[in-house]
This record gives sequence, structure tokens and C-alpha cells, in this order.
Amino acid sequence: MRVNNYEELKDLVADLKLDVQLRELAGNASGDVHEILVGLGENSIENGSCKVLEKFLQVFSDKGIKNVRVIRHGDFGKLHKPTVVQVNEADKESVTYVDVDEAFVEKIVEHHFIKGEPLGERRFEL
Amino acid sequence: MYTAHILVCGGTGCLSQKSEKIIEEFNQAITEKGIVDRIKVVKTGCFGFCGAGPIVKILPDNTLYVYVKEGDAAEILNEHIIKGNRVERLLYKGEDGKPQDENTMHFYKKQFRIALRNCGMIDPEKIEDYLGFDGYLALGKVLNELTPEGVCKTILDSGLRGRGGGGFPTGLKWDLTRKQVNEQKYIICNADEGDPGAFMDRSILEGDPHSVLEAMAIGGYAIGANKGLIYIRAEYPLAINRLRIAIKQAKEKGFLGENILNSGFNFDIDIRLGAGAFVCGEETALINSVEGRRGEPTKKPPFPSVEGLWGKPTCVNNVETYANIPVIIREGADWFKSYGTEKCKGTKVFALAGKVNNIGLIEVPMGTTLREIIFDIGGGIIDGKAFKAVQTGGPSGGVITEQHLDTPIDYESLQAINSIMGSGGMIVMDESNCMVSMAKFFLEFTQDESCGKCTPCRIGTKRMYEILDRLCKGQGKPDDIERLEELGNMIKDSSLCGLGQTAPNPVLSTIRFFREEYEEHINGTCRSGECKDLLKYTIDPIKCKGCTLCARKCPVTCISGERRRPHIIDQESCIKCGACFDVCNFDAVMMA
Repeated sequence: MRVNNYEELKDLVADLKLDVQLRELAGNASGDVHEILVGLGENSIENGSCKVLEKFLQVFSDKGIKNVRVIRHGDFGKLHKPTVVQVNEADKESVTYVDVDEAFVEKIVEHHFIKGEPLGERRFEL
Repeated sequence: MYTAHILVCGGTGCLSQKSEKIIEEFNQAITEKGIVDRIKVVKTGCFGFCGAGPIVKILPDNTLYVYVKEGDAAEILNEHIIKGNRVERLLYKGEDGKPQDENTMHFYKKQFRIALRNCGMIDPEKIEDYLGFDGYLALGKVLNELTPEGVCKTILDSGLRGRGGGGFPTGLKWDLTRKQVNEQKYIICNADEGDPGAFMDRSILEGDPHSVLEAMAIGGYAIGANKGLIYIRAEYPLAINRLRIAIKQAKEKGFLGENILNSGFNFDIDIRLGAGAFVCGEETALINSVEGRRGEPTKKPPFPSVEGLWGKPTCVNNVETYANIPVIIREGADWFKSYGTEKCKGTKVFALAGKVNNIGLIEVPMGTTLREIIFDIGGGIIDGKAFKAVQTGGPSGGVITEQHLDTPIDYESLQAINSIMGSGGMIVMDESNCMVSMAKFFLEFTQDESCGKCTPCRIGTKRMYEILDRLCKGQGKPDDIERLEELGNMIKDSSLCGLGQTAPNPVLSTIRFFREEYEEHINGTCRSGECKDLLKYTIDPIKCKGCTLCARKCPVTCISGERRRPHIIDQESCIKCGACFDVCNFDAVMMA
């Protein structure tokens, strides 16, 4: 369909960005790149880990955070505490969160990544 | 929403290794698993890491799989996408054996991509992908917010210089054409990439054709042209096909055609196929070819910006130059000129080839040193051999030796060491390369590609080639080096166009830095063993154990001898293939 003017073009580009945001995020990372591993074992998937993964992608995109890679990970082996998310930051110890749901994703991003203060709750310690 | 994108390289290199089949297998496996709505497979342009293709990248993990073959797709899907376990055997691994991705690989770490920004990232056959990466916003901005003069000024301020090799300021060229008063003007994209081993422009057109179309429309608006032409060699079928698809899509969306974005600006683009003549990369020869005449250069002035295609003001720019334009408009001149050196802004794409571990397509900021390109990005010399020289600028350039490896790359610094930037071909040579043979290779190319219009180039390069051919056959004469120098300087001074003026460069620069190799050839030896006519294989009767392995491997059965007795090579029949030398376990076969 024909794009009739500049405003329409801007709207179209904004819409289509959603389709490529996974690629745009990965392509624009610079400096230290941190990782979030989302456990996608069968038990975790049943408990909504796919939604957690999607939520991370969406929140990072919305907030323009480009130096975090969301990684699909296998089963973490903590079957009693799905969904498991491990945060690996450069030069820092890994932090593992359990029982993560979509609401808690926003909290992780807000506190752990934006404020730089890992959360104390839902932590898994050996 | 998709939770993973699987990017599969659809550039010429990977397609020739059946990456299309890998894409089919991914799609089939995804359908079988019932996850079509969650996993997206994207056929992209070139990732640049061509030596390790076919390449597959998984996002958002940013996992890079190399040397992927048919049959690997199902495993990647099952293990990586579904179970979250990377397929170790297909991961790219660094020297320490640990898996690396684009953020940690030497090949990518020192690169900065402007012209190649979308290659390996978008599906070049889908305009929606290009739009998703801010496509055509620069055209929208230009048509709504800038005057033609303002566009020229932005490009001039950015410091962008022609990437085809000339290095002329693009903004100045646009402004010169803009100032010509004429109802009809043209803008041309020179996609006649002819340097042996160069594939920068082809990869951009295959991987991101819309960026070139958008830039041409911007250029058309800036200079006052409503007609654009892409002159591309017919031997680039994939690039041509993707350009045709892109032009069709751009017309459907209204980015080409009448009244673009309701601005009153009309602009259309046609494709003209070239027959692959190297000289048609020269702009006046290109214009002659488009007009249906022989692809021969004409004297300048008049320059095409004054009198070009069909006698009308014409602006000719190269593919890579255009690929930079939309980003400069979007991000601004200051952003672009924050990269590069004082005199050369931005980045340059190079096709890295030859005796280097990581061959492929790279883009680095101007000012990056040759050492960084060859030893960091390129991963050093194959098999740990010693670096000998690097040829920049293709057949028009010269060799650069170890002593100049720390030269920051830009137009002026390369000229200062008697080479040129050229369009971006970069061929690395190691100790096993013969420099006389290399010079002969390039002279054979240029004398063959000479259009024949001017005598110095037509006859002079032929005579130079004959001398080099004699040298490589062991028939050199004592004054051959002086004759080559005399001829070379004469051809440089008196040829009509850039082809002739630069054709002697490989010979003159190799004489300058490797004169002793020329002298050795006159005396009948080639230290590298590359010139077969100067080569002789013999068997040391003391070392030879009579194992018969060499005799069994010899393709022309010219090695004779009894078992457990020294063998002999019949020099008359020997074709100097080196098979005996390669297989001997006792170092008994000698090369001299």
C-alpha cells in the first residue's frame, strides 16, 4: 500500500520496528554486554517461562536498554522453583532468581539493571 | 510475538553452499513443531565472515553458527531453540577453543558498520524489514525539511568522499551538478565493480538494496534529477534480482515514482546491465556504455556533472558511497565525521582476501591500521607463515610491506606509500607468494581489460606483460627491470584514463620493494617456487629410502626406481606439480 506522506511513513516505521526489535537490540549493543538466561525446561515452559522471556524482550525494548542479551537456556534443574532466570553481568557474580513471573520481570529490570541494585527477594542461593 | 529470529546468510557465498536448503529445513522443522508463530526465519544478506559460511545467527542470544550444513537445521532447532542448549560443534570458537560471538570475535570487534549496517540483519527482499530499520526516513526528512542546497551542504559537511576509489568529496560533486541549469539531469549508481577479488558493492546490493535506492532518490532531489540509473555488471545476477524486487517494492510504496510522499518530487530508477568490462568503472566509459557506444573513456573536462549522460548534467557515485547517505541524513553530518581521520571521515568497506585466516567483507573506521585489519580482524597469516605484503586498490594499487603496516588507512596515507585505497580490494600475501608472478597476474588483467583507445595503455601494458611473462619463464634479460620501470612511468604519464595511469602500479611497487626477486628471476630462480618454469624437483639419493610413495603419487609417472633404492625424477616429463615434494616423509625431494 502506498505511503502518502512523511507522517504516514513515520507511523509505518514505528509499527514495523516491533517486527525487527529482536534484531535491532542485538545489532546495537556496545560496551559491556550482560546476559539474562531464561530457563526453558519443560516444567518452566508449563509455568510460563516463555511469557517471561517475551516480557524481558518487551521491557528492554520499551526502555531502550540495548546492552542485555536475553538467552534461551535449558533446564536449570531447579524443578521445584520454576521459572528460573540467571543474570550474568560483566565482572560481577551471577544472580539467580526463581519463581519469576511477568510482574517480577519489570522489577528485575527496574532494580537490577536500571538502578544497579540486585533484588533480595526470590533469590536462589546454593 | 516472535521469541527468536533465525538469521541465515543469503549472500552469494553462502547460497553457493546451499544456505537456501538450510532455510527450507528450518521452516520445515518449525512447521512440524508447531511454533511458526514464535520463531521467525530470515534470509539475510552477507554477514561478512564469508570464509566460515554458511552462517546462521540466532537472536536474541546473538549466537553465531558457522560451517552449517544441510541436516544441521533440525538439530539447532531442537537443541538450541527448544531446549536452550547451544550446538557446540557448530559454534565459532576462538584460539582458546571457547565459543565466541560477534561481540567477542576479533573479526567483528574492531569493525564499525555504516555502509554494511543492514547486511546480515534484514531480509533484502522485504521492504518491511528495511523500513523497520528506519528505512526511507531519510528520504522523508529530505523531502519535508531540507532544500536541495541543504542536502548538498549536509553531505559536504559530513566529509563523505567517493568510495569507488577516487575519493572526491561527494557533497561537492552533488553541488556542482545541482548548480547546472538544465531541465534534464541524471543520477547514476556505478555498480560496475571490476577489481579481481572485490565484492563490496555486490554484497551491499545483495544485502541492502533499498539503502542505495533511497540514497539515489535523495541525490536526485539534491541535484534536481528525476531519473536514476544503476549500471551493474550482468555477472551479478543475485544483486540484479534483488534490485529489481526492491525497485518494484519501492514503487508500490510510493518511494519511487510520481509525487513521492506528497512532496511534488518525481523520481524513477532503471537498471542497465554492463558486460563486465573493467574500464566501464570509469565514469565517462560507463556513460558511453549506457548510451550504447563502446565502453571507452573520454577526456575530462567536460566532467559528467556538466555534460554527462546524453549530454546532460550527470552525477555518478559508487554503491558504497550511496549506502552511507541515508544514515548521514538521519544522524547528521557531525555524527558521521566523528568517525575516521582528519581528512577522511567515516568508514571503508574492504574485501579481505588472500593468505589471511579470516577472509571476508569488513568495514572499519578510516584510520584503522593495516596491521589491525590483517592481524586482528583477519586473524593473521594462514599456517603461521610470515607476512610478505598486502595489495590494496586491486590492479590499480601497489604492494605495501611490513614496514608500512602501521599506516592508518585513508586516501592520502596510502598514496604517500605509493599505493591507493581503490574501491576496497585487499589481497594479503605471505612468504610463499612470488611478487613477480603477482605483478604479472595484475598486468595480465589490465592489459586484457584495456579498451585500446590510447596507445600507451593498449601497447605499453602488453609490452610490460610480455617482459613479466618472460621473467616467469626463466627467459629474463639483464635490462628487463629498467625497461619495466621506463615503460611503467611512461604509461602512467601518458595514458588517457585511470586504468592506464594506474596499471603499472603493481609492477613498479614490487620492483621498489622486492627488486631482488626480479633479479633472481633474471638469474633463473624463483624463491617461492611459484614460477614453475624456474622450478626443478630432484631427489637426494642419500635421504631417499625407496619407499615408492612419490612414484605412486606422481600424476605423470615420471619418477622411477626400485623398491628400497633411491628414486629419480625424469626432468623432461615432470610437470612440477609438487606432489612428490608434499608426500615425501624423509625430506628427500628437493625444490630448487
